Amino acid sequence: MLATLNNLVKRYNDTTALDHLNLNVYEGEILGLLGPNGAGKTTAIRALCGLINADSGEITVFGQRQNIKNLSVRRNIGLVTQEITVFKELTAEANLRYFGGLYGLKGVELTANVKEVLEFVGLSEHAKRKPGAFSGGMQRRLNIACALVHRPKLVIMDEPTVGIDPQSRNHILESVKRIAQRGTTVIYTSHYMEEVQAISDRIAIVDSGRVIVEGTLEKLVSLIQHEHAVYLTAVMPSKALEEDLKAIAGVKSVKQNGADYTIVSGANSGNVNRIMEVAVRHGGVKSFSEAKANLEDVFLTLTGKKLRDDGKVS
Amino acid sequence: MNNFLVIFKHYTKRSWMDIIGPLMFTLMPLGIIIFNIVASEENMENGYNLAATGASAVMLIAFQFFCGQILLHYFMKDFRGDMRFRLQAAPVSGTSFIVGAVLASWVFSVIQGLIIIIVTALFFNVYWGNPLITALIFLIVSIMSQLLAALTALLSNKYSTATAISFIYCFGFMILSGVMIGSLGDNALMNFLETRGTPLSLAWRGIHYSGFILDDMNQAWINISILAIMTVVLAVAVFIVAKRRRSV
Repeated sequence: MLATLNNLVKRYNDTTALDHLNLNVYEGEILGLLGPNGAGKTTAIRALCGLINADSGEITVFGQRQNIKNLSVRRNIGLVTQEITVFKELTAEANLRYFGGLYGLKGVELTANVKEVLEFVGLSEHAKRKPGAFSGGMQRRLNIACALVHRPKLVIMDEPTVGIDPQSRNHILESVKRIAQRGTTVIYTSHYMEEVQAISDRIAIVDSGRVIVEGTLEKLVSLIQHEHAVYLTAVMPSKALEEDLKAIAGVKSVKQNGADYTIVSGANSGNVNRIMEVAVRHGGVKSFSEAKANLEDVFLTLTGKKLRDDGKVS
Repeated sequence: MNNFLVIFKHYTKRSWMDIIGPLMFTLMPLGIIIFNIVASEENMENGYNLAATGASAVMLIAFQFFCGQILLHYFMKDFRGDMRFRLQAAPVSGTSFIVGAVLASWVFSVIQGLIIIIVTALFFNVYWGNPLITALIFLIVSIMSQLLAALTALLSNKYSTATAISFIYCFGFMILSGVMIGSLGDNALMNFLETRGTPLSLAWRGIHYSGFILDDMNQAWINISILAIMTVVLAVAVFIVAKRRRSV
């Protein structure tokens, strides 16, 4: 276990930002924190980084108790802030040298790390340029590089793709995967479902200051999926095909509409191959698809809310 | 120590990269001194230009306080904006950030002040009194101005509030010392303010006490002592406020 947030409570006046939040982070994983704006993701991250103290509860990182006075634990944490926090008047390289210096790097090691991280985010050609002249995507990449220059064991990324073009977003998502491949643990917060779904090993859904569910995508989907639907278009539709499909173990119902069949089975019935075999035996299939629940369905089912692209719920 | 040097170098670099700061805080007081020389009748004594001498001491000290604006600017930008999350996430104490930034800004203001002293002494026949006294007063005031800026920044959450407070005390010192719009009245309070009531009046009079203009070394040392006490009190206040805020 790399980090544990245990029963955290944080209040701001009358607002409860964290309401007995519990979360475990395992070494080497990409943990996706998904939730709408105001769910408590950023507060949880700030507490994890030691930027704020929780009113109650306990945070352990690398086996040490985390709080705003513990500076040593921060040496192995890299925070990618939601906003672009680089010095626009300094070059990309000068920014990285400063942030690396704050983490105790100097001399040859600092120079090597700066070079490596610039290559990693694809900004080597722009090392001597000031970020004020960069595109939004390049600024985001530099923002990430500043959190990686000291080679942290834990990287926390707070909505790192807000407001950028799809190409830069893909570049950043690929970078996150590569960071994890190097053995670094990543906590990735976002309100973009497809991002969290695409890169996370585990997902924690945060709402109203608490983690309402956590696990792999498959586990989360299995929590809500009670039925499984298969759609096929037969080459030679017939009543016999319908009857044979109904006879397959786990199938609950079969609906025929011309050449189109909708076959509904119980969750985890594992009968998709059998359905295909029967259809092929009856003359073959023109098209075949499965209806799978996704993260959006999980979120909607568990929170009763629909998460929009702007991070708000409806 | 490494952290402190990194922070010191960082703020030094940024202070000098921005050309407007050095130009404004050096050329503007020199411009005002030249204007005073041109606007006044020539009044030479012992080979020194007294109009330029009076204006130079006041401008040197007043602009030391204005130099605190540089620290204030970087402080508010870095620790009241989004940047604070990245900086506070680093394994560096708030004290290191404050000390590094204050010293970088102090070096900047000392260089700016030295340029004024050297240029006015060489080209405008300005009398700077006893070198030791002037150096002490100059160094104490430059530290005091940085501490005052740091305290203002620590107590303010908004850039506009911090700037407004700093302008109020900078111009307030000039007005109350009677060097900006003349004497505010001839009574005990106003006389006190003009002689010892503000750091500006203590400082510029201290410089003049140390030479032939007011010629009273005891008074010069009294002014230095009061300025030093004020600076120590300010340093303690900065330390306490910084601790209470827990982070920068």
